[in-house]
Amino acid sequence: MDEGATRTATAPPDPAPPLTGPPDGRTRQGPGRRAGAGVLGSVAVGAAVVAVPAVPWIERLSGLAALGAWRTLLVAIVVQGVPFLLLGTVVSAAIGAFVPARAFSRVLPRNPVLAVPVAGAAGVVLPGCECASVPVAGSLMRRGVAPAAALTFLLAAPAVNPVVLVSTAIAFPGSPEMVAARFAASLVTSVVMGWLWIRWGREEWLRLPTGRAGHAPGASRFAAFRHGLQHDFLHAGGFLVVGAMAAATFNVLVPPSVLDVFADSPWLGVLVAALLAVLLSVCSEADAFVAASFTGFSPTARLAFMVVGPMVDMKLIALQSGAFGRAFAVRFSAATFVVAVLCCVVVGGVLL
Amino acid sequence: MTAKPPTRPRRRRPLGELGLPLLLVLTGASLLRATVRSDVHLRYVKEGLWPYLVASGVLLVLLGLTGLAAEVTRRMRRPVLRRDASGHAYWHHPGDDHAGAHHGHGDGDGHGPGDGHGHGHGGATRVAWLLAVPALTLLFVAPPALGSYTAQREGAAARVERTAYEELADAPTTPMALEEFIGRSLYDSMSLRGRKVRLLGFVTAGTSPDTWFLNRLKVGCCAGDARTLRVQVRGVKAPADDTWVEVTGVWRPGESTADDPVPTLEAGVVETVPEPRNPYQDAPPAAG
Repeated sequence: MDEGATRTATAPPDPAPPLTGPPDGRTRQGPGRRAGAGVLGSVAVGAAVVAVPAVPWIERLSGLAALGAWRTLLVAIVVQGVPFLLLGTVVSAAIGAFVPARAFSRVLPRNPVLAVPVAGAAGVVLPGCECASVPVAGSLMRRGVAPAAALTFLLAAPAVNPVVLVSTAIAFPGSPEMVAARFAASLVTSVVMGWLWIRWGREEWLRLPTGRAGHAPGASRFAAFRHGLQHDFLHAGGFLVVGAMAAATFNVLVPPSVLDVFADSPWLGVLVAALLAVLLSVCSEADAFVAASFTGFSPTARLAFMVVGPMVDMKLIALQSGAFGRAFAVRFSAATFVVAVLCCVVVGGVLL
Repeated sequence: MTAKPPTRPRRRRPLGELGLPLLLVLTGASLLRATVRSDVHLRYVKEGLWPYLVASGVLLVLLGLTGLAAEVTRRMRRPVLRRDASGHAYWHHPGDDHAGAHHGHGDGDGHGPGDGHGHGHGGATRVAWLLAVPALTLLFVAPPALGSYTAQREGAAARVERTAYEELADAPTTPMALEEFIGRSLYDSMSLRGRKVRLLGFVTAGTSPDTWFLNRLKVGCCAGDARTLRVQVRGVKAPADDTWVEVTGVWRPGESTADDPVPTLEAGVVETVPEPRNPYQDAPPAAG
């Protein structure tokens, strides 16, 4: 489809005679089946991009106010996520380009069972929302950190950092036990998930991008950094948009009053609040305010909303599929959801 | 002449290596467009994010421009004919020495025989282009802040937490934030009795022309977590939906509860005002 265009685009400025020959066989024999799917994907993405200017027009024509709200929500979630995503990819590209491979093995305990809680506690230092933690966890794994420890860091970082805890304290004035419960339940969930991964996780579920780390002897570090940053940011950014689209769609389609139906039953309430956290995909720095507004729900249900949200939500599932593959994202998110809900019930029973 | 044409890998991208840096520039430019000498970003996110958005915009534009420059200089160099170990000639692109080493990974356009190891990541660069949707939207057709559609949804009124309420000064009319008005009506209604207050918000229609709602949406981080604050207004004809107004009136004791906190204001005067700079900040109207 874009063969002709690219050929001219990538050919050297002044082609030598042999270059003007017919295209070599390789371009044809390439994976034809996949190329078909590829064209379809390109067309779909292209259509989405081209449709942008037409949307306001459709909106006016059909009087669809929901479409306007959808666009606002999409832009809002992406704009809010981009700085954190960039922070995460800068950190991860810097790890890839500048941190020697041995640095982490010196700091972390060699035994992964011990490394997991250390990684969980290390989550306190990355102040940001969940968009930042996925690329960082990926580059940690590429740097030889045990996947279990990196995954624990991935789950803990957006949930237990000081910014999130302070915003929780502000959202729940006069109930410090909520902050304590959130901290405890999040940390326990991420550590338990790390240990579960050691016991049952399989490496083949993880499809790590083959490392940009340590390649290309001739490459300058800056070039490696720049290229890593460009790839990681754009890659994750695309998936952020996918997640934001899903979250905006849910937000627009489901009226808030539906939730009141489930709020009264304590058990169902916890489950529904946790599911809601997945679907709404609110940033972890703001989810406490949303949780505080769930008036009908029990404190444990609100806790579940705040613990599940930073670990499993639409945009995280999309980001994780991008970084580690869909097979991983589905299994890991499902397991995390179950573990997080159980932790919340236990911690909520003790503290709240 | 034994030289084969340079076996450049099959490219899926019309712009080749220029596309992705351009996408970075586009994304960065859209952030700058919404933040630098513009309040457009306030329709979507909280004000505190401003420095981070500007920094991200600058960084993305710089990153993209560096990438463009690197790619352009790479293309300026002409390919040279070289011979490999077995004596076959091939075209060597000087710029590929290190650039190629990166492209082999992840991008899905591997060099060398087959592009097998690009599998699964071929989609990665396609997915990246979805970033152009919010970026172009922000640049050319930025949607307005959330308004009547969101506020009007059934059961949307958010609960208001009890805080410490200060003694109100004696004044003919007291400008008040919507949240404070709702909070006082629930927890400190004595302070509102007989007091004329002025509230600022946008309009949504009610059951009859002279019973309508004054609304604010409050945002913690981005518009995705907006909470609705509502006050029912009576006694004045409703302006059009989404109009920003200042309403002066008196609280009317009623059946508003903590679970469905929508107090009623018996309105005297309604004035149309421009949309506030930050629509999601529930500030009281200016005194006067």
